[in-house]
Order: sequence, then C-alpha cells, then structure tokens
Amino acid sequence: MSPNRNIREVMLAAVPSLRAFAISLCGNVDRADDLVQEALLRALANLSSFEPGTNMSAWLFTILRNLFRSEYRKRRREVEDVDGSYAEQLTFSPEQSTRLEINEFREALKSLPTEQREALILVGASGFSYEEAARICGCAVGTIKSRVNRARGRLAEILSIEDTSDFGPDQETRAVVNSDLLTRRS
Amino acid sequence: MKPVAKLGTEVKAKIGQQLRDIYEETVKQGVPERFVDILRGLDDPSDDEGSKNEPK
Repeated sequence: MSPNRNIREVMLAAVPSLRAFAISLCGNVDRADDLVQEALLRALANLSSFEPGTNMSAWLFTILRNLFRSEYRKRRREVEDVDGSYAEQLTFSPEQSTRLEINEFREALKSLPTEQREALILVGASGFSYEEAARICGCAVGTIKSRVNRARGRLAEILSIEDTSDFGPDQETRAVVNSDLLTRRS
Repeated sequence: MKPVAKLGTEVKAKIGQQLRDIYEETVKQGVPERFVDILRGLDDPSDDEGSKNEPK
C-alpha cells in the first residue's frame, strides 16, 4: 500500500465521526457536510504539516473545529437549525432513547454555548481523552473538564434529568440486560 | 465562575447515552460519496478505477 493510499484510508475512516461532530456543532446536515468537505480539502492541501505517527483523526477534528469557529464568528446566530431540518433527515431506531427524548436532547444540546457543546461531544461521543480534546480546542485540560461539567449540568437542568427519578425501571433493566449481553458476548 | 453542582453517575450515564445515540446515528451513515471522491485524489493514478459517482 502506498503512503498516500494509507493516508486516504485513515482519512476515510475518520469521516463518519467527523461528520457527526460537524452536525453536532452546527446543527444542520448540509452545512456540516460542507464543513467536512472544506476540512478535508484543507487537510489535503496541508498534508505536509501533518506529523506522521500522530493522531490523524485529532488533526482533522482540529482543522474542522477551527474552520467552524472562524465561520461561526462571521455568521453568528444564523447557524442554528431552527426548523430542525436535520432531525427530519435522520431515521432513528429507538433502542436506548425514545424519539421524543432524542429531539429534546438535541434541542438542549443546541442551547449550550459552543465551547461547552464541542467539549462535551469530543469527550462524551467522539471518544477523545480530555488531553486530546484540549489540544483540538487549543485550551488547557482543566478548561475542557470544566466545560464538560458545565455542559452536563446545564443539560441535566434543561432536561430535568435527576438521579433515579428519570430512570424508569424498564430502562434500568434494559441497561443491566445490555451490559450483561455485552459482557457475555466478549 | 458559578460552581457546578456535582452530578450523579446516573445523570452522567443518561446524558452520555443520549449523546452517543445522536452521534452514532450519523456515524452509522458511513462515508457519503462526495467525500470518497475528494479523497480519491490521494490514490496512485494506477489505482484509479475511474468510477465517478455524483456527489450527493
């Protein structure tokens, strides 16, 4: 496999997660895909500045995040997907959460300040460590931790999520069953 | 800065689950063709199968 081919594979593998991050950031699929495209083109044009052996995915996330931030500063509030058009484009099979819960969660997520939202997504969904997220966002690890905490606290507040009360017995059972299945499968 | 109330593990788990549900919904869609096309340029010319699909 040629080096370029290898880079292509690694980049391709990062695209689904990159899209998910972009959609969570800007709340609109079409705009998110444009952002991903721009990030990939910029990455290709600057491949020489990528340090081999470092995390390609984190590098791409950094590029996309910086593009989003510079664009966001320009466009400010029109970024929000007021009609929830991207929610409609998704078919969702509710396994863990109900459709309603998901829509409410999406709305709540949108209401977070951008820096809290990106920190929460990077750590809570993209699977980056606090250290990696800090590098991607160009801030201190402590800052990321505090943003993630504030994001969680705010979401819990908006969605009135509390310990036990919002955890119905069937959900709890399901969680136990699921983890049990996972344990057995592995 | 306003201090943040300590959140219980159940609250964190619930938020984490919904966050991942939303995220996975997109991840499951894979790689749209337009991005495959963009990255095709990285292949050796000899590898090019020449199958140009319209980007979505």
